[in-house]
Order: sequence, then structure tokens, then C-alpha cells
Amino acid sequence: MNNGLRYSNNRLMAVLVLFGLVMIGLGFVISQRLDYRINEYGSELVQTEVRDAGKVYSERLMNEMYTMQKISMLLKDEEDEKAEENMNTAISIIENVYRNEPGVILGILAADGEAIYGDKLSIDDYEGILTSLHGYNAISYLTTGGVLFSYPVLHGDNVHYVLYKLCSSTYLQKYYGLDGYRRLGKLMLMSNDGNIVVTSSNISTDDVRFYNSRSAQNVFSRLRVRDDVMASAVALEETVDGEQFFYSAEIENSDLFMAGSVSRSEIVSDISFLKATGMGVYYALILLVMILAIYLIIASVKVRESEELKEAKAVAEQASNAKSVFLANMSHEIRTPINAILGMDEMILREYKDPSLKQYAFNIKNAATTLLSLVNDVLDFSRIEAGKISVIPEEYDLSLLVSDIVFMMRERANKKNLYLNVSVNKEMPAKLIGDEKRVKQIIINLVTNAIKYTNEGGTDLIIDYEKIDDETIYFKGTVKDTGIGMKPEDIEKVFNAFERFDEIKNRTIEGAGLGMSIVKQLLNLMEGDIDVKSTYGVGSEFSFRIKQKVESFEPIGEYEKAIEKLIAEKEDYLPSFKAPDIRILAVDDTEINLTVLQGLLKQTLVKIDTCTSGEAALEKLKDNRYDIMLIDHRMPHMDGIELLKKIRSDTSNDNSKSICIALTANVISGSKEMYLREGFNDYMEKPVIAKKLEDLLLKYIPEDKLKTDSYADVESAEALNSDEQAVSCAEDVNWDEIERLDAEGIINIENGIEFSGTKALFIDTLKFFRDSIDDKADEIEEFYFKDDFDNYRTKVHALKSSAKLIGATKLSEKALALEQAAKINEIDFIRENNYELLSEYRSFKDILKDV
Amino acid sequence: MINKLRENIWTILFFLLLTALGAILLFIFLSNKPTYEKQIKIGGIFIDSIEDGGWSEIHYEGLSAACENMGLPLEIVEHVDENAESTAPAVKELVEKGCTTIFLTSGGFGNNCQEVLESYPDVTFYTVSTECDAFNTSTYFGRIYEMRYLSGIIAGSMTKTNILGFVGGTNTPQVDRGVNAYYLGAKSVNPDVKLKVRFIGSWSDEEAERIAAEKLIFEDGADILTFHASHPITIEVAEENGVYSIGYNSVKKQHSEKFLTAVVFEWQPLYEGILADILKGNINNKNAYWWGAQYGVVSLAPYSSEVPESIIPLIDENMEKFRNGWDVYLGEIYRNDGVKMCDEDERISDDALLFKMDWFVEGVEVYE
Repeated sequence: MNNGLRYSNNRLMAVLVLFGLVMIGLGFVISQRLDYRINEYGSELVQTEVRDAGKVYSERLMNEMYTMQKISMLLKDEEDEKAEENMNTAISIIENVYRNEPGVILGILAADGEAIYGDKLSIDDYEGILTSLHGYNAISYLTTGGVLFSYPVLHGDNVHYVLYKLCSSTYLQKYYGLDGYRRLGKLMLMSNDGNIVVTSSNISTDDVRFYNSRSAQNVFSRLRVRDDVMASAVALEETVDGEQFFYSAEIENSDLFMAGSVSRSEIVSDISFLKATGMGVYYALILLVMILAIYLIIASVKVRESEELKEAKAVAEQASNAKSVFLANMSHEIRTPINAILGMDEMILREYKDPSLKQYAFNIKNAATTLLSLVNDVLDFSRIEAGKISVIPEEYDLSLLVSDIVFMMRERANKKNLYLNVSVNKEMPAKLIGDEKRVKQIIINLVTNAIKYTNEGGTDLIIDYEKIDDETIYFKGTVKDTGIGMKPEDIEKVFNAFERFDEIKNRTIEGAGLGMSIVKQLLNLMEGDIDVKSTYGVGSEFSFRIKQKVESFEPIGEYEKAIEKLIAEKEDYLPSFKAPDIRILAVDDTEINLTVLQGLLKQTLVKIDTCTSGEAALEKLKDNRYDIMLIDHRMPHMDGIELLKKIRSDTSNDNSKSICIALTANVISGSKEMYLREGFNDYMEKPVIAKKLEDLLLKYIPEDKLKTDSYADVESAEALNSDEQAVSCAEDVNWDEIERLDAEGIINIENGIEFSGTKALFIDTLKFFRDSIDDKADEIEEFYFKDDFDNYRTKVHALKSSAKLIGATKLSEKALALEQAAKINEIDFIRENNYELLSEYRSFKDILKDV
Repeated sequence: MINKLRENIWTILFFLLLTALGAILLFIFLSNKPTYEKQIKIGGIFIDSIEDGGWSEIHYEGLSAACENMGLPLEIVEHVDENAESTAPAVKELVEKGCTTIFLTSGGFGNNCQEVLESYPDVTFYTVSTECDAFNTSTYFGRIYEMRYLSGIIAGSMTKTNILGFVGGTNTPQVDRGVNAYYLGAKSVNPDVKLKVRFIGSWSDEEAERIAAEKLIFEDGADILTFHASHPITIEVAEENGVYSIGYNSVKKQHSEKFLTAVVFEWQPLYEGILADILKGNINNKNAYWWGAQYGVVSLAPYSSEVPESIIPLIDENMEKFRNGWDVYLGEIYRNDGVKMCDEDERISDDALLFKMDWFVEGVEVYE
């Protein structure tokens, strides 16, 4: 994760935390709002309740008025004469009814306020009396603690008397108690001035003190300001006993009002759960949002990370690609000159007979081959690194594999005067399935390494196996040397690329330090493993193990014999050809490469035209028809692919359907597919190897244009076994000369005729032997220089046979010895004796010139 | 499309939840506008300028002093005609300024404005008019007739011609109460006295008032004039002609000694009484604030030197009687057509005084 991303994530997280805090804060606000809502609900509830209570209570108080109304009925609507009588009746009723009620005083006042019955009440102290004198009934509070009910007795529009009833608070408490209003808590009847007249029974003296306190009184007077319209009002106030609803309600036509307080929890307990539910839902939602947000952030981080990884991967791939391209270029640049060197060197080896010159040329060839193998190592390594190498399992012969290794390695060992002992378990299956090339590479690298670091003694290669099941075995290889060995701390480093130990001590040892790394990587690729044992100064032992499938469990036996057997089986193979009717066009911007090509194909007798550019090639194609074109990929101005496209697109030209083969030093994996896709028929790596080139061409040359007279000299000789031919040939034969040679022991007539059948055929054979010496010798020499000992062996074998046919026993025996050497890859022997054999062979040309 | 939806499902869910949360918040905030405790603010509506030297001015003086004493803010609107068309914008203006209690300081703001007043159910109105049935409106007025009675005693004592003159604005219970009380006062000290009343059919028709006053002097032979109208034209006429006069409402000018006294309102105690009740929460009184001498709402202006010292104790004595609940309309009272309106041991109720007194007591002569 980069810093920017981390920063933005931190910021996101910070925002999220902030969001959470804000939402929690909002939660508190919401909680308050809900409380407010609940309080409002409670208020409304209390307000309705208290208003109704006020109305009910007003009506109850009106009972007192009704009593007085009843009395007033007696006092009015009667004739004047009866007034006194009525008054007396009224008074007696009052006395009867209220005599036993000490809390009540009744009185009757005249219109001028003077008492007719009972006490005169001063209007200064009893405001209600004045109100009633003015014609209205009134309920008024008295500072003495009672309540005055006053009632005017009207005569028409005029006030005749005023009845009053003075009730003590004890009386009111008794008859107008406030205990019927359970939901209102502590309820009181108060006067306008805030005096408590009647209380509900649950009010203690402490409560009274509280309600008389200034703060409580302020609350009530505030409430009374509000109750003017609604007839009741409620306010929630914080008190020492917790939150309380204070309320007030008017009592009509009176100085009194109802007031009190009730604890909030008592009122809202029913709906408080609503708040709990609401808050629960709210916080659950916040929690959900937070969790989701965190999930999203994490997800987005993952997306971004994977995007970054993708970018990084793309960058890395681009870099790797660039490396591949670079390597491809390098391989081209390096291999092209090596190709030239090897090719020109081959020319020298072929065309010059001077032994010392040949030795120099041979040394050049060795050096160039080493250089080529180094370049190949680097290429292999980079291919493995780029994952561009895959293991392709194919059926292969173990004996062939071993013989190849021995053939390649023995010379190297011999050069350093080291032994190379190869032992193969005789029980090991001969035919396996696996990637022969890679297995070979592993062993060769290990052996090469062993030889490199060994100065005395030699190397043992032990090949063994271990059966896993009916189809699979472990291929076990061990390479043991008596070399310089490794220190224990270096063993681990042995497989590191480009790493070499004791750089100073080993500075004379060639190589890029990649061989062991390639081994390790190839083993990884093939799911194998390797074990290293080493003693510093004594030697090392590398043991590897890879799984291989088994084609057949037929044991290999003695691997040398297996090789011989194999070679014997392949004797019918015709590796080379002559096709004088075939025309080939070779296009390459490097002239030397063209010269090499011409040289390599000289003996196939094909006609080769060359051009050094695509333009020149097109020019040539106008007038000539070619069977096969060899086209270099990399050329200036017009590269091989462009040229091919031009050729293919010009359908009017016969050449448009000719065989086109790409020649290239581009050996990056996938090249072949690319060339085939572009329209080439085939593809060939440079430097061009003669044998491979021949094989390739052979694939595309129609059989009828092929002259297969390669090595079947004996057969040709036999083909001459016709009397007519024999006679015709025999006519101009110098028999004396033959006899002289026979006498010198150079040839043997008796053996010759015996092998040939007739004398005439012997002569023909002799002549044919003589005439083909140049070609055959050149062939042998060519295979020799190409280190193509398979073909060399075949040719020497043919020489052995044909020499025997003419009775040239010495020559035949020498050829036999070399054939045997070739068979077991005794290259050194061949190198020592080849020149002698060929010299002798060629000398027969002179010997038989007079025949 | 579906895949895209599936990819973004968490984002979508997240925003849905966020929206839900937002909606909840929005709902809670919108549905819960906390109400604030109403601040009491007083408004005043005046028919004239508050510097008219008459009715509006003394109302303003009383109201503003009362508000100042009680620590309440006051907003006013002047020059408001006594009809719904003018009252409505004035009330609206005051309510918009936050007034919770509005005083309509002229008797014409009554049932003609009922709809306007009732359209502000949260506002409490107080009007001088006795004829307003709006549920949120109370009436307030002074028992000026008590002072008429006392000034009647002075007039009854001082008249030489035994003819008193009274210029009335409109023939309404308000004026008639004053006329009757004035005559009953005069008669209580001078059984032979007569009262001649001339109505001008308006509160402020200065020309008609002047003519009426002059007629009372020159045609009717009245030697003491008093009046009940907006402007003291009657007093000017009396002064011009060297006739005794008794003022009404207020005394804003320096007069000669012929100007005996005036019946005046002391609005401040009444306003203070109402405001005190408002502050205590006693707002919904069904009965009118009809306060008299007992509360100091009405009084007599200082007497001129012409007023005989001998009658002052009598006046004081009667004043004391008023303060103790006595009344002008107590005892036998006969209408000028001989019908008995009140018995010996009776007292005319406030209702009758306020709404039904369209008659005159025996001894009053009225010129329409």
C-alpha cells in the first residue's frame, strides 16, 4: 500500500469516526427531542386531565351557589307584605341546615351592604360582596383562609339582597376534597394570590412549604398566564424530587384555581418504552451504517491494492519484456557473428589441407562453440526466469541420452586428462517419457561443472532409478568428482545465479556461473530435487532425482551395447541427398552468412542464388523460379516478414507458393509459432548446422527430384552387376596394373572377385571406388569437422565395406577401427586417426589412376 | 446491469441506510419545533394621537406609566378609527411586534371589531367598550358616574338659577349614567334643582357642542355647565361667558376660577390592576373591570376657590361612602316619566347600569 492510499484511508477512517461521533451526538439530541415529545404528550395528558378536573370542581363548587339560589327563591318574587315572613323562613332554614356546621357562616345583606342576618362583611376585606352588590355571584378567597360564596338576590335588574356563605378551608377540605384525581398527583385549590386553600390528602406540610416557595409560585403564575385560553396549562419543571409536571386550571367565576404537580415518570411511564425502542433503532442503524462503511472502505482498499498490484505486475511484465527483447537482440547480435565465425572456420577446415592451419581453425571452432554455449546458457537462464520454458514430455531412449552425454563430455574430460566413468544400472528401463533435452541439459551442466572444478582424478556419472509405480520411476543421477570441493557455507550458494566461489582462485575457469542455477531451475520445473555433498579440497557429489514416465520396462542392459544396437537400427537412414534440379534463393544482409550457406549446401548440388536485400530478392524472383527460399528475418529496409508478405501477395508470380524458410538468430521461445503464423513454411535457427539444414530441405524437396545415391555404394556396385555393363567396362581395363597392385598387396583380386561376383564386376567396382574417392573422402571429412560422428560413422562404415570389396584390407581395417571409435564416441581416437585414414583413402586415387 | 447492481449492492445499501437515517433526523427535527415561553408584551390602540390633549393622551399616560411600573414593554398604534377596517391592520401590526395583550382605548372598539379580535385567539384584548362579546376580550372602564354624583353636589349647592346644563355626546348608557348621577348628586343637596341636557349626537362635533353649550346658557338659563364628549368645548363656552363649569375626563388647560372642578379618570391604577392580574395569570375574568372610587380610578380635579368650603366635607363624606360600597343607584329612583326604577331597599345592578340605562331620572330635561 502506498502512502497516498494509506493517507486517504486514514482520512476516510477519521471521517468515519467523526461521522460516528456526530451521529452519537445527534443521538443525544434525538433522545432529547424524544423526551421533549414525550413531555409534550405528558403535558397534553395532564392539561386535559386538569382542565376536566377544573371544570368538574367548578361545578361542585357551584353546589354552594345552588344552595343560596334555593334560599334566594324564598326572598324574591313575593309581595312586599310577605317580605318579612320570607326573610324569617329563609333565616330559619339557614339556621336549621348549618347550625351543626361550624365551618360555615351564612348571612344576608341588604342592598346597601348592611347585614339583615348574620355579620356585615366589609367590602375591603370581602371583595366578593361588592361584586354581588353589583349584581354578580362570586367565589372569592379570603385572606383569613376561607372562601366566600356570594349571591345577589335580584329583583328585576336591581339587587335586593346579597346572600353569602363563608366557608372555612376545613369545610372545603371536608366537602370539596381533591382526592378523586389520581392521575394529577398532588393537587391543590389555590387563590389568585397563590394561597393554598384545599389540598389533596397526599400533600404533606413539606409539600405545602414547597408550593408556597417563591420558585413554585413563579411557576404557577407563569402557568396562569398561559391558561387563559385553554383553561389549563402545564409545564415540566426540575425539582428536588425529579422532573414534575406543574399544572393549573381555572375555576370559573372565582378567585380560585386548581394547581399542583405530578411526577413526570408517573405520567409518561406508559410511553417511555417508545423512546427506548426509537433510540434502539437509531443506534442500530448507526451501527449498521458504520459496519457497512468499514466494510466498504476495506473493500475499496482491496480493490485499490489489487489495482496497484496489477499496475505493478504490468510494469514488471513490461520490464521483463524489455529484458526479453534485449536478450533477443543480444542473442541475434552475438550469434550472428558466431555463426559467421563457425561457418568460415568450417570452410577453412574443408578447403585447406595444411595441418597446422587446420589445427588453428579447429581451435577457433572450439572457442566459438564454447562462446555459443555460454550465450545459450544465458538465454536458457533468462527463458527459465521469464517462465518461457516448458517441459515437453516425449518418448526417448535412455541409451541415446547417455551416449550423447558421454560423446559430448568425454572429450572435455580427456582434454584435462581426467577420467569420465559412466555407469548405468542395467535394470533401468531403456525407454522413458520426459523432456530429453532438459534432462540431458541437467546432466551435462552437472558434469561440465564437475570437470571444470576438477584438476586431478575425474568424474563419475552414475545413473540409477527407483520404481514408483507401474508407470513412473525416479530418474536418479549422481555426479561425483574429485575436484576442489566446497566449503559448507558455500553449498547453499551453489545454485545462485551468477555466483561463483573463490573468484580469484577460479578465475581461469570459464562460464557465466549460470549452469547450476539452470540445473536448479530445471529441476524445479520438473518437480525434481537435488542434493549436494561436498568436502572442501576433496570433491563434491551432486545427486538429483526427477520423476519420469516409463514407456517400457525393458532393461537397458549394457548401455554401450544399447548404443550399438540403436546405431545398427538406424543404418538404413538416408541423412543426405543430392538434388541438382532444385533451385534455392538465400536472402541475408550479411554476405558471409550467404557464403556459409552456399558452402554447406555445395555437396547437395542444389543451385543456390543469393541476394543481400529484400529488394534484390524481389528483383530475382521476377525472372526465376525457386523451389525453396531461405530468408533471414532481420534485414535493413525490408525485413524477412515484409519480404515474405510481398512474395505471398504477388499471386501472379509462380514463386508465391514456394517454400519459404525463416532463418534467424531470434531464438526466443515462441519464435517458431510467430514465423509460422506470418506465413513461413518453416523456421531455422542460426548458426545453421549443415545436418539440420539438409534434413529440413529434405522435408520439402519432392522425392522425384531427389537422387538418393548417398552412401549405398555397395548397392550401386551391386547394381552394376549386369553382364552387359561388365563387358562394356571390362574392355578398357588395365588388368596388368590391377595385378601389379595385387602383387604389392594393396588390393586383393581374389577377395575382390569373390565379393563382386565376377571379374568384370570387380573391375567396375574398382573403377567406381576410384571415381568416388573425392566425394566420399570429402563427405567423411565434412562430418568429421561438423563433429557429426553419427554420419561420420556411417560413411566410415561404407568405406570399410567398399574397401573390403576391392580387397583393400588395410584401408578397410583402418575404417573399421574408426567406425568402432565413432560408435563408442572415442572422439580422440578419431581425431588422431582420421587424417591418416583419409590420406590413405585419397591416395588410392593415385594408386588406381591407371586401372 | 444486474452484475453492476450486485457489485454495488453494499454501496447502495449504505446510501439507503444513510437516507433512512437522514429521514429520521429530518422528521424528528421538523416535527419538534420547541415552543418558547410567551413573553408578555403590551399593545395599545388609540383613536387619536397620544398628544391630543384629551382622551387618548390620558389613556396613554396611564398605560405607559403602568407598563413602566410593572416592567412590561409597550407598543402602540395611533389614529385608529373605531371600525374593523382600521382595527385589523393595527392589531396585526402589534401582534407581529409580539404583543400578547392589547388595549383598545376607545369605547368604539366593540362588537364591530369582534371578528378581528377573535382571529387572534392567543392574544388577550381589553376594550373600553362595554359592548364586546369576543371570547378573548374583556371590558374595562371607570365608574366615572360616582364622580358625577359628587360634582352634582357641588353644582346643586352653587346654582343660582337652579338650572344645570349638560352637553352630552351621544345618548348612550355611558352618558346617561353620568347625567342621572350628576342630577341625583345635585338633587341630594338641592331638591329644587333641574338638569337640562343637550345631546350633540357625536363625541367630537365641536361646532354642535358649542351651539349646545350656548343654548344651555342663553336659552335654558343654565348657570353651571358640564359635558360628556371628547373635547372640552363646553368649558370654553362657559369660560367665554363667565359661567361656572365642571370638566370631564382630564384637565389639560389652566382655567379661570369659574371652572369649579372636573370628573377625571385615573387610568394608571386600573391599568396596573389589569396588568397585575395578567402577571398573576388571572386573565380570563368574565366580569368587566369597572372600577370606581374604591380603587382610585376616578376622582375630582382640585376645586376652584369658588367652591364653598362648607360643602367639601359633604363631598368627602360621600366619597368615603363610595369607597365602602355605597352607590348612586341605591334606594328609590324614579324615571322622568314617573316609573319607579329602583326600590327603597334595592340597588341597580351593574348589568342594568352598563347596558340598560337609556332613561333619565325625574327632574332631567333632555333636548335631542
